[in-house]
Order: sequence, then structure tokens, then C-alpha cells
Amino acid sequence: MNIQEIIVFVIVLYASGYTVYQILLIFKSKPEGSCGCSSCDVKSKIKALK
Amino acid sequence: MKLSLLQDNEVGYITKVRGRGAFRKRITEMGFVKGKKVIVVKNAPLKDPVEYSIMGYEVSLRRSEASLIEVITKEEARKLEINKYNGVISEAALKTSARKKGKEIQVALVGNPNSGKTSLFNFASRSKEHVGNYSGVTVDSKTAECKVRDYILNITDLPGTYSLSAYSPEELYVRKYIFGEIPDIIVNVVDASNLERNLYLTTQLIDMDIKVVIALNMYDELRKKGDEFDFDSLGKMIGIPIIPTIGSKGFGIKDLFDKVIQVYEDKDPSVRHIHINYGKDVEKSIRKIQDVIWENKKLTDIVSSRFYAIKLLEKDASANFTLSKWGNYKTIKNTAEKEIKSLESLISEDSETIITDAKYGFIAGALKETYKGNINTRRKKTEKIDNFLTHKYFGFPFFIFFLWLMFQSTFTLGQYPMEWIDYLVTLLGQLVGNIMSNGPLKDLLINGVIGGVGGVIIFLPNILILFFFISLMEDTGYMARAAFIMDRIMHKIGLHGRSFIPLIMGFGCNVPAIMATRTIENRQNRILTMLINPFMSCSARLPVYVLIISAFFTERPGLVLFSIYIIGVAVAALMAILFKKTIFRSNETPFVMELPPYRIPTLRNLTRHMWFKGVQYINKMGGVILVASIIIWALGYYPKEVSYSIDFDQAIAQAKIENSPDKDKITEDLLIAKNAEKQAKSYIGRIGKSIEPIMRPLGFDWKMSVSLLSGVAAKEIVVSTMGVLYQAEDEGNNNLINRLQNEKDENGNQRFTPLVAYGFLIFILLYFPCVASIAAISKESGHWKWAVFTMLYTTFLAWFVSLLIHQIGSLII
Repeated sequence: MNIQEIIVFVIVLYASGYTVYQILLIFKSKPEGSCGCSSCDVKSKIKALK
Repeated sequence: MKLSLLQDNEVGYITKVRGRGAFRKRITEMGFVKGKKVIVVKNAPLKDPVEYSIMGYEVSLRRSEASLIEVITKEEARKLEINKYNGVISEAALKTSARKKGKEIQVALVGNPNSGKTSLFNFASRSKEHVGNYSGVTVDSKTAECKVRDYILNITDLPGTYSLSAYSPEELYVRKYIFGEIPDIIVNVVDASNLERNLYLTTQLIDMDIKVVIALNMYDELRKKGDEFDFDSLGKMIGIPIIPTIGSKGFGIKDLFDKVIQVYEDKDPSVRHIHINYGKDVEKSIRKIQDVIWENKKLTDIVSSRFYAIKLLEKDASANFTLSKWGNYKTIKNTAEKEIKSLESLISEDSETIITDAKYGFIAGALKETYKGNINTRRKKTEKIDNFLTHKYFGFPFFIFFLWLMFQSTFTLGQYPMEWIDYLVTLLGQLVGNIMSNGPLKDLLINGVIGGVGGVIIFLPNILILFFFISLMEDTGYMARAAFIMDRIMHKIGLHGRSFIPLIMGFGCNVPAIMATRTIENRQNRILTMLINPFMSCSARLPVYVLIISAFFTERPGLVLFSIYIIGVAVAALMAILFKKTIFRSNETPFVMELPPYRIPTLRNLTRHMWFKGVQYINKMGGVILVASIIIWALGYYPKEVSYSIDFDQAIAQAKIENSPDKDKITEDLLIAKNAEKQAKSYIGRIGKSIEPIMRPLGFDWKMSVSLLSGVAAKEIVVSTMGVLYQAEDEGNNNLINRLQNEKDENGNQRFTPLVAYGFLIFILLYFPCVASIAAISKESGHWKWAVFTMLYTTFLAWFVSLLIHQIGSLII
């Protein structure tokens, strides 16, 4: 393996890891509520009232 | 921390006393003032009340009362680092830190939509939040810190709201924020050119009995009209200081913050609590309801009983809900119902209307004494412009013309800088090619990084021009007009014109556009607007359009680009009709659409908007697009060794020996064939070949299929993938447009005919929105099923429409 191949290997490995990490982040982030804003609990209370 | 959180024998120094009215007065009289030392003596057996020692005597407070007093402990003082040594914190130092902590003021910006809260917030905090001349730009709260003298102002920009009723989520959110977070000071941002309506919210803040300072924003517009407004007198009349400001220019902000500090420190003599007089009968009813609410001391220590009494008379659902948690709710409810009934029969009017009328009566009276001028001057100008721009017959053609102008300019004006950047990218590729020795790293840099990222970066000027126009629409107030013009069409498809604003915003980026659907009250309409939003062609798709159109539609590029956007709007409308007839069969909610007055956009805001979009685009280059380009390159480069159908090396050597006059051409053809076979047998080739059968009926080959697949992450990646995939057959000197034009299929025919290219453009327009948009739909709709549904139906629709274009088009052409 020459130096170019080693550098390419590291770069591609990093890019793949970064991609997996970003995908995991998307799945990990929980929705904040039914509309994404913090007023959701109020809205759901109102809904419950109705 | 809150005093209620202190443990037995723990010491704290008072930094702030929250709460209101009688509670605040009583507690301060007892000695609970800033800087005083409090010791927890003991907790009662049931943890309530708690006995405290202050100024040498013992008092007991309920936990709920103690939670309204803020203190600083030794631990917190240490964190503040006022003592630079790690020894025992002295009492004097603790007092200093208590005073220091007491100089942190929580400020909330409250005001009508489009009253300039965010402009003021941006200027005050040097933030860069998005502003625009239409309602509902801010859909969530934002906080920033601002230092004024030795005070720290924590400013929160809240969504715009016309009132504090339980009508829309924003109104509820603001109300909940005020009662839940208990900001020290409310800055009520009032649009000086629309005093009457803006002051309605002020009357509700008056009812709340909280500390308010009014920022009379856009004061320059009032002055320009030559109107006379004695805001000092009005301030004294309503007990709220009024400071004229021009948020976008920073005028008056220093005075405003000085006033905020003065009011916070109770040093402004003009501050007083007044009661708006609702008339003898209403006041009697308010009093009766107040009497029963008062029994809940814990509640009235925080919120004015008068406010709740008025809200109950207004039949406010949220107020009812809050009060339902308290012991005597039944009595409160019965009293309120009885009073509503008696009022309505007495005045023959709905109780809500009675309160509203009284509030507007109060405003009219207050303005009559303090305001003189032609309140309609700016409105008149606006009406004159509107006579043309929203005209029954001219309005729509003008809107179409504006859109056409936007896309034509994006294309033609962007062409020149695009060529310069393209030249630089090519130059860089050649430079790297000359410097580096052959090997995988050189290939990665030239064909992966420069080919991929360079292929996308050349479209930066087009993006900036597009955003210039979008910003122009937003800042002048034309965005709201566009929604107004489209209102009739939107009604026909079962949506309100207001849904058109998030749709137009989708031309910029679908993610904030999906978030902007929060301003639509009806949940079904919100979800429907989210579902059709991806058809509004976002700026990330622009590079793909410009690339394909530049290559295959050189005669009328602007018109082709315009047609793509129009098709997007048409498909969105058709899908809305379909969904409305099948999934979302609800009635539309009536809503008054606000048409803000026209304003001349500031160059600062326009350039800032473009600048941030440019930075965002470049950041994307260095992130997702760079990474995707590297992965696409690696999938195309490996495996290094593949078994070829013929021995190309030997055939090339043979061609050179034969010394025929066509030997260069033969050699070149053999090299192209070798590279093509290598790429087809690479990992990406295998992926492409596996999905090619599905895409073949649309006229797409495996390279186009892979490019589309990669666009799932972000649409610009389609271009970078094409940049990488269409590299193999040349030496890197030719730009991507030429390479696409020269691309041949296995039979030697042109790969891209105008028909295939147009089908490809339509597929890009309609299929799977990017991952970020899907995540936004999932988050905003509250359920992942809508995200999955959007992924599936958009992709199927894209496939079906492209199939029709290709198959029917092939019969005609």
C-alpha cells in the first residue's frame, strides 16, 4: 500500500463514518412535540378540552 | 435559584422578587428585598410551609410563595467567579454577587405580527434572525443576551400575536410564556403606523398587571406622515412608559433598554397599574368572578385575578383549563357562566364582543387625546400600489411576470459569474493534475473533490440571485400580496391563501417553509400544506436545473426554468385537491389575511439575507456535498481490478503498432470503452445497474439513476454525483455541461435528448424531498407516518409523470 492509498483509505473511512453518524443523529433527535415548538403542550391541553 | 429549593440551614442572598400585586408588596415589606440574607430555619413536617430567618426575625412562607423569590447561594457565587481565590466566600462578596445576579433582567418582546420585533431583537442582540414584511416570520421563541452598562438583559423574541386569547397556537404560546417564565419586563413592540390595532394587545397586558415598556417601533414612518403623537401623555395615561424606536436602524434601542432597567428597578414614576373600565355592568361581573378566583392565593400571587376574570367572560378555553386545576373551579365556572348569561341578556351582545368593544373604546379614547394626524397616509400609498398589484385582472399577470423575471434573472445574470467560477475550478483541476503523481489520491482530488464539489459551487451566483428576489418579495410586503392574489385559487383547492406563504418560502428552502406552516391554525390544512410543500422547487434543486438547461435548452433557458417552477405549483395544487377530497375532508377555517403596508427594503437586510444564504451554501459544500462526493468517487473507483469483456490494454497496444491514420481515434475510443466498463463494474455501477430497470422506461441510464439516488441526501449532490460519474471519459479539461452533451449510450446515440433531459428535470422537481425536509415533516406533523407517506407518494408521482413525458413525448417527437 503506498502513501496515496493510505491517505485515500483514511479519507473514505472518515467520510463513511461521518455519514453513519449524521444518519444516526437524524434518528436520535426526538421530535419536540406535535408541531416542534414548545407551545405544543398547551395545544394538546386545548385539544383535550375540546 | 429559587428560595424554595434551599435546604435546612442553607443560606441565600436575595437577588430578585417575582410575583405581583399584594403578594409582592407584602413580601418586600417583610424585608425580602434584593441583597438581604435569608437562612432556612426548618421545613414543616409536610414540607410546607418553610420557616426562614431574615433581618433577625423568623417568618414562614409557603413553598409556592418562596418559589417566587430568587436567591444566590455560596455555590452559585463561586460559579460566578467573583472571588478569584479558592477560600471561604465572605458575606460582602456574597452580597456583591447577589447584587450582580439581581442585575440579570429577563425581557420578553411581545407584539403584533410584523411589528418589527425580530428587527429590534437582531439589532439589540446582534443576532441574525430572519425578518420579513409579512406576518408569522417568527414561529418559535429565540433568546439572546445583551449587556447594558452593568446589567445583563436576556431578551426573548416571541412569535407575533394579535391578542392573548386561545385562538391560535402563537397566542397561547406567548401567554404561557408570560405566565410560566414570568419575565421581569415585557417590551410591547407596537407598530407606530398601526396604533389602534397594536394597542389592543397592550390592553391585555394592562389586564395582566405586569411590568411593561412600550417600544413605539417604526417611529420614522409616523414622523414621515407628519402625524403628531404625544406618546409621553399616552404613556402616563396608561401607566406604561413609551419609547420611540426604529428597530431596523437601531434608533431608540439604547433609550428603550435604559427604560427597561429603570422600570425593573422600580425607578420610573410613570409606571402604575390602571384598570381599563369595561363599564358598570361588566365591572360588576368581573368583580364577582375575581372574588371566587381570589380564594386561590397561590395562583393570584403570579397571575392577576382580574385578567382571568376577563378571560372567563371572553369564554377563553385556556383560562378555563388553567383554573380547572384549582379546588374551587366549579364555583368559578358557575359564577362565570352566570355572569356571562346575565351580561348577554342585559346588553344583548355576546360577552366576548362586549369586552372587545370596551377595549377598542378605551384605545379610541386614549388616541383621541394624544394622536393627531392622517392615519391613512401610508395606507393610501399602499392602497394606490395595491390597486395595481392586487388588481382583479392585472394582479395575477404581474405576479406571473415577477416570478418569470426572478427565474430569468437567476439564469441570465448568473451565467457570467458562473463561467468565471467554472474557469477557476477547471484551472484548479489542471493544477492538481500537473503537480501530483498518478495514484488514487490524485484521482480522488480531481474526479471526486474538484469534480464533485466544484461542479456544485459554480451555481453559487444563481442561488444568491434567487435569494435576492425572495428577500425582495419578503421585505417589500409583496409576499403577503402574492398570498392574497393566490387566495382565490387556494380556496378552490381547499386551502387558505395563507398557506401560500409557506409554499412560496419553499422556493428558498423547504425546511423553514415546512416550519412556517405553524401559522396555519387548522391542523389538517397544516399537514396538507406540508405534504405539498416539497413540490415548491427549492434552491438546492436550482443547480441541477441550471446544469441540465444550460446543456440541452440553450435557446430559451429562462422559459424552461420558469416552466419547471410552474409545473411544481400546478402539481402542488392538483395534489392538494386530491388530498382534500380523500384524506383531509375538513372545512376551512376563516382567517383574516393581513396585508402589511409596502416598505422600501433596506440594502443591509437584502445583502445580509444573500450573504447568509451564500455562507450556508458554502458550508454545505464543505460538509454533506464533500462527503457525498468522496463516497460516490470511492464507490466508482473500487474495486480497482475488474474483469473486462476484452483485453483493452492489448487492443490499445495493437492499435498503436498498426500505425493506421485513425490510430488516435481508435485508441481514444478504446480508452473510453475501458473506463466505461470499469465504471459499470464498480460498486456504484452495480448499484446503478440494479435500479436501472426501474428507471429505463423513463429514458434514464444507470448513471442518472445513481445521481437521483444520491440526491436523497441533498439535491445539490445530484450535480456533484454527475460531476464524478461523467468524469471517466475525458481528461478533466472539459466542463460538465460539455460532457453531458457528448455522453453517448451503448449504441453510440446521444444519451440525453431534450425529452430525456426534461423528464429528468421533472423527476428532480417531484421526487423524494431531501432528508432534512422529511425530518421536518415528521417533526412538524408530529408523526413519522406523514414523512413516510411524503417519501413514497412524491417518488411514485415523479416516476409516473416522467414516464408519461418520455413515453408520450417519444411518440410525438
